[in-house]
Order: sequence, then C-alpha cells, then structure tokens
Amino acid sequence: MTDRMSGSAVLWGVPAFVLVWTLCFLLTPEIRGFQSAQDWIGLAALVGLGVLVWAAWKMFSARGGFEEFEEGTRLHPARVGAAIFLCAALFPLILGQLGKSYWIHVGALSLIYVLLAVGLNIVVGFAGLLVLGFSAFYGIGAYVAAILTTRFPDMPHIIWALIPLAALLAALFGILLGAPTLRLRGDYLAIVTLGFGEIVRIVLTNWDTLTRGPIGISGVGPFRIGTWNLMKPLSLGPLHIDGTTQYYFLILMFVALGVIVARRLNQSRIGRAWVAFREDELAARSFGINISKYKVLAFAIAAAYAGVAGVFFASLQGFVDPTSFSFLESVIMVCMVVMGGMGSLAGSMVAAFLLVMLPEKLQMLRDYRMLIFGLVMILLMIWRPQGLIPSKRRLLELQKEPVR
Amino acid sequence: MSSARPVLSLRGVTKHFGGVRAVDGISLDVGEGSITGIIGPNGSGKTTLFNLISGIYEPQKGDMIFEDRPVQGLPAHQVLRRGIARTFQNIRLFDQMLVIENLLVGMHTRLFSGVFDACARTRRFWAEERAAAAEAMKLLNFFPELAEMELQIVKNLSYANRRRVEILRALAARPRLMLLDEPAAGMNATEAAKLMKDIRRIRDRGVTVLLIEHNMSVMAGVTDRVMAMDQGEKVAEGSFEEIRAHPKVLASYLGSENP
Amino acid sequence: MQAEAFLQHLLNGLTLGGMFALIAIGYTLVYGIIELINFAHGEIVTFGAFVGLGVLMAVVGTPLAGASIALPLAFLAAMVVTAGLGVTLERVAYRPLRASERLTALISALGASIFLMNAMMLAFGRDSKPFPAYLSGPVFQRGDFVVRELDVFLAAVTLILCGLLDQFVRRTRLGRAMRSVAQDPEAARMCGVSVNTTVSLTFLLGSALGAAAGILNGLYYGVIRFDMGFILGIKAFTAAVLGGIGNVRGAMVGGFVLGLSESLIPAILAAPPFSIPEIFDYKDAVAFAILILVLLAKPSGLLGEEVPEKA
Repeated sequence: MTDRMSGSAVLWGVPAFVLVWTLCFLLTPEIRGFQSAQDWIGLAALVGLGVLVWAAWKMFSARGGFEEFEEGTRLHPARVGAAIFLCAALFPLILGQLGKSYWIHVGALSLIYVLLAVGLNIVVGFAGLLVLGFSAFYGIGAYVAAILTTRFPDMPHIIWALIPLAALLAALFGILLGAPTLRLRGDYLAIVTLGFGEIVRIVLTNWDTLTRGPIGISGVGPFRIGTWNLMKPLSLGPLHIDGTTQYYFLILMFVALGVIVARRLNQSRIGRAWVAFREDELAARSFGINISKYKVLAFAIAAAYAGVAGVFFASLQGFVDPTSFSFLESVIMVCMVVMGGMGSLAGSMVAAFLLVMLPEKLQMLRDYRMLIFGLVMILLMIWRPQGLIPSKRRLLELQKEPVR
Repeated sequence: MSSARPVLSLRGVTKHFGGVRAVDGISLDVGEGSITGIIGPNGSGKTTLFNLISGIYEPQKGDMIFEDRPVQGLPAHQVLRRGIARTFQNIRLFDQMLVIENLLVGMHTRLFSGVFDACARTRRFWAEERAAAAEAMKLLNFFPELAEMELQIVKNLSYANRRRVEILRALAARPRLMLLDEPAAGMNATEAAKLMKDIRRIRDRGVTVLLIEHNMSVMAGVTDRVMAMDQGEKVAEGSFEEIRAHPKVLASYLGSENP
Repeated sequence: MQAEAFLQHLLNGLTLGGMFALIAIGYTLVYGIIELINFAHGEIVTFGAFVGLGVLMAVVGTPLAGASIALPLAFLAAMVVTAGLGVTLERVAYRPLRASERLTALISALGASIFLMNAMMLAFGRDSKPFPAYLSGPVFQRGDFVVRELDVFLAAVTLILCGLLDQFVRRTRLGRAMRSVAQDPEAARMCGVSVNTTVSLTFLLGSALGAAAGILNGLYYGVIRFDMGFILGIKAFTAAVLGGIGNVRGAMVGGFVLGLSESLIPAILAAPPFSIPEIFDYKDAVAFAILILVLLAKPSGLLGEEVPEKA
C-alpha cells in the first residue's frame, strides 16, 4: 500500500498533532460573549480546530486508522502510550513559559477527571454496571484527605499515606455497596447507587462535627516531601516550576498508573470475565464465572480510583464542600464514559478532557452550559451511541509475532 | 451402546413455576460416552431440564448425580467446574468479544491469574495466557470453517459459525458432559448432516453428549438412546426406533387428548 | 409522642403519600411499557406546577380567582399542557432509541432531565416562587391537630385521579391496549394495537397525573422551584419500586407507604424514647435507605412477581 503511513512518522506524528492541537486549543481566547473581536477570534479558532480534528481523523481512518497504525508501525501500545504521556508532561512546562498558569490548574483538574473516568469505565464500561453515585466515592476520598490533614497538622506527610488509605476506604464502601446489590437488574442497580450517592452527600452536608457541613473544610494539607512543599514554586536552575505544575505531574503519574492497571486488567482473565457477563450474564454464569465475585471486584477497583482522585482534588483545591460531590457530578462522570465509548479507555480520557476544558472555553454559555450538556447527551445517544472512540477488543500480543 | 456406568443420573427431578409443572419427576441415566437425545413438543420442559442440570434453576425435588456426586443446588459456575458445559437454544455468545476470547472465557475456570498477576503481568500470567491462547487456537482447528477467524468479533460471524463458536466455547471448558440445546436449529439438510459428524467427533473426544433436537434425522443419526418428554414428564425412553413408534410419543406430537 | 402530634404526622404522611402515588404512577406506567426509568418525569412534575402557577397568577384580580373556578382551571390547563410535553419528550428523546440498548435510553433520559431542569431555570429563574394560598381554613381542629380544607382537597384529588386511572387501565379498550403492549409488544402489534400510540398515551396519562401532583405540591408547600422535581422524582420512583414497578395499584400503595414512613419514622425517632432530633436533617436519606433496604430484601418490589429467567 503506497498510502501506508511509515512507523516512526505515525509514532511521533500522532502525539505531536495531539500536543500542538491541545496547545492551540488552550491558547485560543475564552469566549465570554459576542461583543469584542477577541470573542469572534476565539470562536473562529475553536471551529477551525474542530474541523482540523475532523479532517485529521478522516485522513487517519482512510489510511487504515488504528489497525494500520499498530500493524504498520509494529508499535507496541506501550510506546504510543509513552509518547502521549511525554506530550502530556510537556503541556504545563510550555504553558508555564507562556504565563498561562490558570490553564495548568484546569489541566490538573481534567487529569483528575480522567482518573475518575478511567475508574468508572471499569465498572460501567467493562462490567456494564451502571453506577449513578460515583461521586460518593470521590467525596469519600476527598473528605478523608481534608479531615485527616486538618486534624493532624503536625503530621504533614500523612497525605501520602492517605492515597492508599482513601483507596482502601473507598474500595471498602464499594464492596459494601456492591455485595448486597448483586441480585439487582441494571436499572435498579443504577437507582440504588444513586440513592447511595445521595445518602453520602446528605451525611457530608449534615454531620457538622466531622465535615463542618455545608461550610466545607478549608486548609487541606498540600503534598510534601521533607521540607519541599509541592504547592510552592520550585526553581531548578533556569526553570521555574510553580505549585500547580508540580501537582499536575504528580497526578499525571497516577493517571498513567491508573490507565496501565485498567488496560492490563481488561486484557486478562478478569477483564474477559467482566465483558462476558456484561454481554450475557446467564451465559457467563454457565461458563464458570462467579458473577458475584467479579461484580464486587469491579465495584471495589473503580471506587479505589475515585478515592485516590478525591485525595488529589482536595489537596489541589485546598478546600472541599459537599457541592462538589452531587448527583450531577456523578452524571457527568457517567457521560464521560458513555460519550467516550463504553469500555474504551482512550475514549474516556478524551471525553473527560473535553468535558472539563470546553466549558472553560465557552464562558458565554455559562448559564446555558447544563442545558446544552443535556441536549448533547440526548443527541449523542441517538446519533452515536457507541461513543467518540468505540472500544474494540484486542488480543494481547503474546509473542513478537501475533498469534496465528 | 450405552455403557454400564451412568455419568449422569436424574432421579425424580421436579421444577414448578407457580402452577406450571415445567419439569415433573424426570428420571434418566446418561451412559458414559453415549449420545443421549431428548425430544418433545415445544414447552415440554426440555430446556428447563437443561437449565436444572446446568445450575441455572434449582430443582424443588429430586436428585441429580454427576460422576457419583450430587450437583443439584450448585450455582451454575460450580456446575461447570464439575465438568458439565452447555450450549443455548438461541445462541448466547459474548457478542462484542473476539472469537478466541470467547474460547478463553470457556477456559475461565482452568486459569488462575488474579488481579496482581494481571496488573504486574507476572511470569505466571504470561505463561498461562500463552498456553491458553495456544490451546484455543488448536481448538479452532476442530472446525475448519473457523480458520483464520480467531480475531473476528463474534457478532460479525455467520449464523452457522456462531453455532460452531458456541460449541467450541463449551469444549474449551474440557467438559465430560456436554448439553447441546437444538444445535441444528436453522440448518439445512447438508449442514445438519455435517453437524451429525461434529457431534460424533465431540463424543470421540471423550465427552458424553446430551442433546435436545427437533431435527429427527439428526436424532436418528447420532443418538444411542432417546427420552421423549411431554408436559414436563417423561413419556418414553429407548432407542430412537422404539421411540419413533411409541404410541404415547406419537400422541404427544399429534396433540391427541387420549393416547 | 402526643396523640395530636402523631395524628398530624399521620395526616402529613398521607398527603405526602398521595403526591408520591400520583407521580409514581407516571414512572410505573412508562416502565411497565418500555422498561425505561423516565428520569425526566420529576421535571415534568415541576413543569406542571409552573403551568398551574401561571394560571393562578393570571386569574388574580379577575372574577375567576375564587378557589372553585381557579383551581379546576389550573389543574385542567396544567394537565393538558404537561401531557403535551410528556408526549413530545417521548417522541424526541425516547422513541428513536426504543430498539437500542437500555443503557442508551437511560442516558438519554438523564440528558432530558438535565435539559428540562435547566430550561426551566432559565425560563422561570433560580429562586423559589411563592404559590398562592388556597383553601387554608380549618375543617377540624383539636389541640395541635388541624385538618385544613386543603388537606381534604388534596386527598380528594388524589383519590379521584388514582381511581379514574385504575378504572381506565382496567376497563377501557385503550387501557387493555396498554396492558397488552406491556406484556408483549410484538404480539400486541400483531393483534392490531398501535405500539406508538399506546406509548404516547402512556406518557400522556403519566404526565397529566404528574402535573396534578406538581400543583398539589405547590399548594401544600406554598413554594415551587425549578429543581424540586429531582428529589420528588427520585422519591416517587422509590415508591413505584416499593410497590413493584409496572404495577399501577402497587405504585399507589408504595406512594402511601413511603409518604407515611417518611413522615412518621423521623417523628418517632425524634421523640422519646429515641430522642434523636438530628434525624430531621437526614429526612431525605430515609427514603433512599428504605429504597435500598426494600430492593435488597425483595428485588422485585413489595407487590412485584418474580419472573423466571429466560434461557
């Protein structure tokens, strides 16, 4: 095939495109209304960038898309992942030099949502269990971090221990929710998880002595290593790295870890069990899969992701209150998974990024934001229910040669 | 041809849904290495009987002994571990998964990698996955029609190939008893003839076969013994020739009230 | 607890239960027919309340302002307009997805809910809107226990609407069509029942009852707000599940059970010998806790039947 893309061109071309595109996207002016020239430039730029993605996508799929991408380049998915990881790591450095530190903060926030979406994808996408109370686990993680770091101010390093602790506690709640609800059919499960999410929110709002109720908790401790406070700017020779950037890197590392774990689980006996009972519960049971065990496992692992995301959120914002963990947040997280494509890790990540970033850009839509969001949900289900990047099952490459 | 030792013995197995006697006091011995057929009009309780044996339902009464141990009341996933695998009347594959993955799910109970193995991709994980994939590839040779199709999404396969994948998924579990629920449904005469050979080849792998089928030429061609059911009860049992001539069987098919 | 206080809580519970029942019917009818949790039903109820409010505000100062004319007018207008919204919602957001997976339709329902809630926020504002007071005079009074005209009115409206719907589903040709589609859409189609019309009819009836419940809610609490439908909807859905979803009489029973427990359980727990006054802060959690407990104990609801698995 003359059209075939050469390996290294693709390996570096795709991430480079992603990097440049995202930078352009972040540098377009925010659109606050339709008065100033800046708004119109911003709008034109956004539309242009959208067209660019669409054209690039057409070209890419015309030449075989990901199939060709992987085959033609003999790429190990790990190498593509590493290239994209590297690009993601470059953002805050470039943005920092351009003085756009606000967008580094938004970037860190979107990474937290990527972590949430990847976690939720395990239970909703792989295992097919609709969870409408995911923000409860997120809230549990955030409040664990907020309560413990403010209660023990003389133990600043405790926050590192809180990452596994929040993960474990959230997983425990996941098991507490998952185990009794095993017998429930899909929609009932969704409603029970919704109820659970609301109960957690009501408790967070009313248990004043522990959570300070609707006022919230401020002064959540930052991450520290010895005397190095990750929230304080750091000078490495000529390079100045501000606090948000350091958080960005910290979260990025956990996102990478989270993506690798989710991917590896998906391509194992465990992931096969999840997808099998998502596809046909009765057949899966008849083929030796202990549904109960795998459902609870999916709940626990997904909840752990949310717990960790919560710790980062609390520490990044320095403040938590119950409004960040409402039903609407849960719905937005589900949308990230569904819009991206159920079971598609890449899709979840892209959708999480877009759903955090786009509203920041489209400032003039502030009041209409949720209205449009609801409308897009309906339209997407009608026109593209499989999501932006539909998931595709792939067999793990077991040898250098594909199994044949 | 049925050998002396029954691999599966049913004694008075009964399942009622509300007032409906779906399966009513069925007793049956399935000889090891035999191909035993079950016939009966629609709604006579054949598939319910399969669901009872495979642990999807629990019988209200009766015993089910497989290889000298009771299996009644075991959950479905444990029944498979004991060595009973099945196919479904209306093919139930994992549609979004690859052909080879469907077979790997069939091997689920014979693999052991846990969360840690999967995440760390331990040596054990690789060894196990390689061995399983190799075995699945070998199993695919059972049906030459499935050659080179291992990486296809099951949903995109033809009807006949989906049937074949379903049989292979059951074989992948290395069962000693296989329950085939109307495997010839939707097949023409040529395909049905081919299926008869396939069923015999399954038996030749040392798997005892229990077969529900409406296609009488398949029944005549492969079975050692046949049980006829009507309204949840056993009407008759014997060789296919005996059953075919049995007045009660004829009556149940022709719908006569007084046989 | 004092006898009067107990009676008051009992009355509140019954009134609340009546509203839950009316809304729950909307959930149960739709779920019974297309197996979809219509998340937007709560917003339908809110919309009905706003239409009713609009009518009541419009007649202020005119000869129509008296309760005997204004209220029937408000109910009629709200029920008709809201039924239209319900039917449109089904057309636009659910019908194109009827053949797709259930999760897809559920997400669309969530989207519809968010859309309608925000549309109402933009149209009617973020603040609570006061609802004109009607029928506030007492009918019966003994100590702290007061029965107002409004309570009698609420009970009457609830009972009449529930009774009419029950008879409609049971006795009329269209009601039979609804039940046949719920049982087996394919077979119903063969028998000449138009599935689309029947589904539209279901949304029409559910939305009309929801609108009535919305006005009752406004009259009872004296205020309405664009987002009141969320919690109301979830609770009514809980009631529908309690009664066994798909079962109309079950939804009515479930509504009253939920209303009574939400009113009485916190009251009992707050009084001696328990004396936990903080329980009132967690009042909303009670409904969710009941929902979870019931589903765990009996996954098919109180009046639901267990269905054999198809294999």
